[in-house]
Amino acid sequence: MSLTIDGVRLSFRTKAGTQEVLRGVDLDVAKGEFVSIIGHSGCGKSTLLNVVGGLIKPDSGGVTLDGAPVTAPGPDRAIVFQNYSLLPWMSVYKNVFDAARCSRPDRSKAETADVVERYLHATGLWAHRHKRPSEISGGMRQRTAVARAFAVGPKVLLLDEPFGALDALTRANLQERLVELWSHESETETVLMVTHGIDEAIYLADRIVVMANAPLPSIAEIIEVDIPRPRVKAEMPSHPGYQRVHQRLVELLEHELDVPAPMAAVA
Amino acid sequence: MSATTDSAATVPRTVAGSQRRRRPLAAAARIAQPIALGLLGFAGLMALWALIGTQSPDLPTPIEAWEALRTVLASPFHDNGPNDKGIAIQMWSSLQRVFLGFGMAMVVAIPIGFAMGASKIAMQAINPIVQLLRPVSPLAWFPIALVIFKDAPKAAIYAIAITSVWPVAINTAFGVASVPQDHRNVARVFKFGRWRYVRQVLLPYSLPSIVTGMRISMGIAWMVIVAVEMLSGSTGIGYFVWDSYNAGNNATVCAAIALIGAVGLVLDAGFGWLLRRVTYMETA
Repeated sequence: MSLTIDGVRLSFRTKAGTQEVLRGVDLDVAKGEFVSIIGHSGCGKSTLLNVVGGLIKPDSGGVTLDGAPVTAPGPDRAIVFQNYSLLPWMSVYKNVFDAARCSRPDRSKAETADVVERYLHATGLWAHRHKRPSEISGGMRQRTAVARAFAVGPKVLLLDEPFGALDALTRANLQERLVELWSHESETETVLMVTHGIDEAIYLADRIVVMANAPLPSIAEIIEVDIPRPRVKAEMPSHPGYQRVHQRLVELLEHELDVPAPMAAVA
Repeated sequence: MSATTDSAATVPRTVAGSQRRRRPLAAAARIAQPIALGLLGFAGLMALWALIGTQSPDLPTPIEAWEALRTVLASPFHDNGPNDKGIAIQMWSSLQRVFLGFGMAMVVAIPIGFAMGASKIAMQAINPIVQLLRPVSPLAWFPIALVIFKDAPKAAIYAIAITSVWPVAINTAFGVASVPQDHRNVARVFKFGRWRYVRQVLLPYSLPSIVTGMRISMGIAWMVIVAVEMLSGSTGIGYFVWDSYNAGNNATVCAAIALIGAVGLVLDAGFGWLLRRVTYMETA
């Protein structure tokens, strides 16, 4: 399923006046592509993801999936939220099962149960399925959120800084799990992931979309990641493609698009 | 000389022994300390009571009150006509009124709270009424209720109902209004229907607030019933207190106070238990 973001503009009204969050964002994501969106805090990258998810309506412009306009959330797009967003009064199993069941009324109950069991196994949560979110670790919560999204069987997966709150080891494990699920074990074709980890973006993505903050909150540059898959994380840094992309991202994020700190502005 | 050497030799053994026993001792102390301090507090209260008694000769002494308590509890279920009923019967008729009034209030207050929490329009329309009537003593409603029902016991139930409405309505509204955006987004992204959203997001999220409101309401209702029954007469623990006072049985009044407190404690503990049942652990 191909995804087209066309001229999306959005501003929020605040007490201080109208603040432009997205100014004319255009992006085409091909079927089967993994795209990372990176940028400083407040560049509107999460907002863009929510527009694609159908949670926020843009002021103008729009999103289409295989030509069909996105107006609301739908089972073709599942979101993994930044803070897991599991329902704390439900077990791991019920969090995943109910989401899958509600999103896909076309599947029978037994089919849904099969799918849920498959993804709970794939994310290593089957043994913990009866536990509540408060009884498991942060990494397991995030795996539950990933399992929930995959269990819907979305063609497009939207990830909002999914691993930001995790320790490095857990993050690395989950990144690998995510690639395996996306490339071999699911119906998911296209992934759009918001991140602010440079290494994470390069390891996972085919293309990296760099977004700029105000006064021009939009896409600043799109960088191709020319590293063949399957990628081995440990060998990545020695790849010439990696070094080129890494250097360009650092240039952009630390110099060209650097947000002046308030202290610097005063001086 | 020999005594000193003896004691010197035994000292290490004693220390070792006490170390071995320290753990169970500490556990016993953890249980015993609050009980001992609680009893100490009660002893202080009794002393204060006795002290005030020396200045006010009509005040029954703690001993007299204890005797009265034993007398009342000796035949709690006797029923010798309208002016002589056992304390359990009186307590039960008060509890019935409280439960009935409280139940009626829940039927009204929870939907109102849901409406206020879910809709800005309902909030703006209803909140001023709630805020205006909430501070009014339920006893002020008693004459109005008498006018409507022309029946004192029914009016008492009405006063309890109106008392119980406000905390539940306000707490329900608060709970419903504060459902986090995250939970709503989950319901939207994963296509929860309206009914499932109410049942699996709104209700479980706001249940602790609702039960907290119920707990507050029940506490107030139990306080108010005593006052209302002093006005309404004929039956109930409030009437019992007033009747005992009129008959000069002040020791019985003291005994009744202790029992009213005990029943209130049990009611509160019940809602405390319910609250723990519906409370979930937030993860974020």
